[in-house]
Amino acid sequence: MSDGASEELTTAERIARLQGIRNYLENQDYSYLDLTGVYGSDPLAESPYVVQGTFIPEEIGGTVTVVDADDEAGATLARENLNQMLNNFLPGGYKQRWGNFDLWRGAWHHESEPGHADVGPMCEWRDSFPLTDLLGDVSEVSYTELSFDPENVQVYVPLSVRVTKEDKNDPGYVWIPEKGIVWTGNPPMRTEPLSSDPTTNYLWFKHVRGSFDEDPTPLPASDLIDGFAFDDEREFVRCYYASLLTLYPRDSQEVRSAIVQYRCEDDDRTAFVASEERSQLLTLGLDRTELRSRIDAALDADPLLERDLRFALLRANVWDRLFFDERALRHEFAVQPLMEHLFGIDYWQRVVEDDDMGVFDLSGTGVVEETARLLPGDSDRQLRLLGHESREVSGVFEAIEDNPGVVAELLARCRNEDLLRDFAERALVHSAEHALSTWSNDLTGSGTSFELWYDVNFQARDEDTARIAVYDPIQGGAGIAKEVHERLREGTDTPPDAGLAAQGRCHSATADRATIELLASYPDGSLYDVYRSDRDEFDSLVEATIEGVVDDSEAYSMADLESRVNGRVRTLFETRELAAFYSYVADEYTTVEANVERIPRVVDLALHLNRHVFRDPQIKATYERFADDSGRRDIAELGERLGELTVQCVSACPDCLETDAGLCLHGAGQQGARLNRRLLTAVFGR
Amino acid sequence: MRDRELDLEEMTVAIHRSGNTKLAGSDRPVGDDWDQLITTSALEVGFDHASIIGTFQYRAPRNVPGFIQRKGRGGRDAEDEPITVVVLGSTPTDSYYFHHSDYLSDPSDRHLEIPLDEDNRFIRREHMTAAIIDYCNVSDAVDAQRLFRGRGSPGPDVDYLRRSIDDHRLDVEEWLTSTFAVDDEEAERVLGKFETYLDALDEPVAPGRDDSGYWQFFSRMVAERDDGAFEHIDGLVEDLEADR
Repeated sequence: MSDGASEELTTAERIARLQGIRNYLENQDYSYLDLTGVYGSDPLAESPYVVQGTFIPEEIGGTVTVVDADDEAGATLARENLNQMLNNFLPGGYKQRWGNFDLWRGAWHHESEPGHADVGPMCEWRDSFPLTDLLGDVSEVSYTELSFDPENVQVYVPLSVRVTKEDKNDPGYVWIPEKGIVWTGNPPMRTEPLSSDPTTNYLWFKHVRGSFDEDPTPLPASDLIDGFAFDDEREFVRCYYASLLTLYPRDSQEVRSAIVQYRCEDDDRTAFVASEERSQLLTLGLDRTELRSRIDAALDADPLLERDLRFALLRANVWDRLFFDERALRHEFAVQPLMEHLFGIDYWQRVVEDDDMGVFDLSGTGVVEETARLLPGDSDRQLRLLGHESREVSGVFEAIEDNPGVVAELLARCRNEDLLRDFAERALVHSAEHALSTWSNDLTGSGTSFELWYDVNFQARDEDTARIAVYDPIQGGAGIAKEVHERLREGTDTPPDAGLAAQGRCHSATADRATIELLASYPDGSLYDVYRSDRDEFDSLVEATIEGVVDDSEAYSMADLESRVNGRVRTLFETRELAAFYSYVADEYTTVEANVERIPRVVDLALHLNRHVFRDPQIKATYERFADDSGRRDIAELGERLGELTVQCVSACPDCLETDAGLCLHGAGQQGARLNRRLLTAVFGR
Repeated sequence: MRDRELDLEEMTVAIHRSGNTKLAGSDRPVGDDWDQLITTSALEVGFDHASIIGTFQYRAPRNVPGFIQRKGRGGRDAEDEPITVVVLGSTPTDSYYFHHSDYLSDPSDRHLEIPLDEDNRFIRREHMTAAIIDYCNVSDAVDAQRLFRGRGSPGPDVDYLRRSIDDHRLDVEEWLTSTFAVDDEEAERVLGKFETYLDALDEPVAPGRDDSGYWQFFSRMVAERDDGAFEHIDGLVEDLEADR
């Protein structure tokens, strides 16, 4: 129940109460009623001011009653965590759950504007308020990929969620083009059958309520962290504002994406559906002046890092502008192929055209021309080695050809040094936020997953400080964030800067790098004989190579690294022929890296080998065997083979900074591009 | 059927969910007649079955103590030599345990502790709310029997509870401040919220159709469970829906 206790209850609240009583009668055989039973059945009872019937803690966001919308009496199916409900049952979500593991969806309605679903019938609302109550008097919602007028948006907090059952044996998923929504069965309008339910990612942001402690505890041991604070009662509003669907049309290999936004037609408003998360928050303030100074130094010292960061900015911009604003890409999975084309053009511009700026120096039409050049229609050379289609039928080429102005704008943004530095700072703060979470795990040994938060708009809000934070995933807090705070107050064994820097040291990337260096040391393939005949010698070579690669052996599990390198070599050395091929390519890898001045991708190696004069006919024969028939995407072998010999984690991966999509503020898209382990380690480890 | 070459034989697989154990792929209760049982964390603690010798854990545990508890479901017989297998996935938490597998195989005392925040305000307020009820239970001035069992109908007497709190408000506040070492403001906040909720329990369930207060209605429905309670509730819900 909201604070306005004396306010008269709404009809929805009265119905929810009656349904709660009905559910109690259905599920409890007791002939008595106690206070716990009253609290437990009453949807208006609000934690923590309740008499609990269980010691099991609630997850953040709290719980809601799930109501069977098909049942006339509105039978209660369960009490579930609100975030889980919204993450599975907002428009586009189908899940097998209650009853006899039946198939359910949220009881939202299709009678709305095209591309929108009416979520009004899906929920009874505990509370609703204008978005401007949260954001203040602003002209746009700076959190979201999509554009919203804040004046037109209402935030709704569910009291209960209504779900409706589908036929789990024959759901008959369809897309309704006229309405821009997914549906089931045979609606009386033109539909497009789908082969399965859509893959649905929900777009959301978190807004923190209240202001921050202006007097945090200083941290003299750090020049970067200007203070930390603990807040034992902090509230976040997590707003779900759209569903990003990937559709799989029946009888077609072409997937495509669609976006469904929400409305509440009864109120004639755009709807953001929200949960309110209460927990204990540990906050670190980062000194922006020091951050920027160290970023400048890090990028000046490491040109490879700078170029990789420029591509990360390009990728983030492709996502924001080409995918969301222009809807120029058919589906979200088209971002990666497009980037692969741009990397290919970059290789060509730098190596063949001798242009240091690579792809970033091109105009929009220049990119169109270069893409066409790398997608020949009459042979399987260039990018077609990796299975990309010829320019006549290429979806990537079509997207570039149709949007040369936007492509030119994105490249120009990446050329701009100020924008690059701004992006680097955002990626660094985001990375530090993820690192704080994993370092906190190290400190407490809790093994838990913290909820993450940082002020994504810090550059517009605060000239001096960027805030990063972690909080417990239990409603009200579990005490783990508090324990980390206590450790910081007492003084940690590892200084916080070094602790955060260590989180950027990726085992996966280090093992990849060590494998490449090990093989490159024997370009004639002779390492194969050592591997086969003298395992002790081989192990000592592995050990020595790893020691040469890592900058701080204390930051790694050396046994894990050795195990990984051994595993990689075992895969690469299946036969003497393969061992010779990979050893040769590993040697070429160094040349490619120097040429492109960034961590080489598969496409760089492929284009390099495509124009390479092989010194050894046997190696050439192996290459040609892999390259043959590569024009067919399904059997393009060269890309897979070369992928075995690249550093997979360029900026971040699940082994270092990436985290579950549901935890990261950028989880729905391009999380990896907005993190950078190398920049984190360079700045915090200095 | 037995595969003689691989020395394999069929297994009976059961699934435990929501307190029920059923044969996998059917709704048939299976009792103890299974070779392999698939379960969530529901059986993490306190499920002792002497026949279990092996436990398989899929994906990273939520915490080390939880892992130890799950592992401990195997080998409950003194003669057992139990085994446990963990299959990690690709999430960051799985990766974390991959690099810190010693936390699982040889945990230190630090890893076996679950942080307990005795000053957690959220938890404390839940306990303070319960303590208000406790006050009524231990105070000689309150007839706890009447409060908890009501008079005639099942369920607590919320009117009497409300009056008792009003009559002893200062004592209750003192009880809260001294028991939980909190200031007056915190005690007042919890007490105020509690009273607000008691007021809400008096709200009529369906004004104009059934003006009974919520708690009295609830109590009456429990008494009339088999005597038209469901029909009455459904009728009220229908009426309220029609009003919307």
